[in-house]
Amino acid sequence: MKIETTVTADETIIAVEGDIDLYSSPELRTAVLKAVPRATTGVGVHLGGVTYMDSSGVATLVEGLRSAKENGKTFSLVAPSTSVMKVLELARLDSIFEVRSG
Amino acid sequence: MEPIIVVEDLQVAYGDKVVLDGINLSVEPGEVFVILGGSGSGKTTLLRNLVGLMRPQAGRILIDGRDFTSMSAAERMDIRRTMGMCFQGSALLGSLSVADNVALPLREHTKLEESTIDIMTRIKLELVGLGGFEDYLPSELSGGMRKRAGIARAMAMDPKVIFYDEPSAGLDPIVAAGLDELIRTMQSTFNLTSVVVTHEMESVRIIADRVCVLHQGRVAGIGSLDELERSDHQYIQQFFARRPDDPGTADADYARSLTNID
Repeated sequence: MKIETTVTADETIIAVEGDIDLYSSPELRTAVLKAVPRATTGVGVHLGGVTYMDSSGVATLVEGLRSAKENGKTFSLVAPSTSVMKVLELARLDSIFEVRSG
Repeated sequence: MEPIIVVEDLQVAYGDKVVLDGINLSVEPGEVFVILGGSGSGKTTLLRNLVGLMRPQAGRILIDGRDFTSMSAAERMDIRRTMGMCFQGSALLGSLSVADNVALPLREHTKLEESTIDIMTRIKLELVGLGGFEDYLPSELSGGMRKRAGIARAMAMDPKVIFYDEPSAGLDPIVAAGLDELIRTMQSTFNLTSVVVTHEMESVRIIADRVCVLHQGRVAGIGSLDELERSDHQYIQQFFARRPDDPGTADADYARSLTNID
């Protein structure tokens, strides 16, 4: 998994590539929980390059959303693939996230 | 695509009694593969070998192209982390809550934070219809709910392959149908390979992509249900038609077992 964080005046974008699984998700968790309190308005997690996401990835995104609410920031998922959305739907958590295409 | 499981010339015996005799089969990624057979056919023994709970006397089992039967204990553990096992009796720890049972493999085998594990556990329990039962003890659940909790625990580590030993045994038809639907949902959403040992024909019709029929420790046939229903193999025909053994044959088997004379 590869993570790249870009800070702009409006939003912090965390772009993820590869597999988000039990072994890589702690790294994403660290990046998200570090970025949220520092972001100007909020964080967008770009999932366009994600090839596989398991439930540890879903849990990480939920933790990011929780942290954003606690810090009064926005938290959105950007360009999630169909397979990522399917996992979120199965977990019945697709509706709690703001999702945008790009 | 390469098969995720390959079994080659597997032979297993308990003492002098050969239970599996030259088993050859392969399981494709993302399929629901059912191992079907009557009592004593060797299906549970085959399952135990597939998950590494037993070692065969001869033959090989390849998981993802790696020889599972001859690798070191550490390598086997690596492979077993990619597998989930749903035992017939659920095998939940009675002293732990349902949530702690599901979280146990994550606490034992990963470095995930407790907050992540908590969310993952709740997701898995919601998935099997046990949202809200996190704090219950296994003894406070019905048989069907215990089975579901067992599936949630087997799913805890997001395995590539999940093995089910008689998932519908002892359940009423409605609960059993719910479990069948759950097995299919898991397969289609996560592209999860499922190996299911059962003798419940109703379940097989709903869940199976392919079926392997075992008889007296050997493969009687492998194929789709349609293909097997057209098979001219005597035992497969008898099994699918639910025809009892010929009493003459049963008598002869009984006499043979008492006298040890063929």
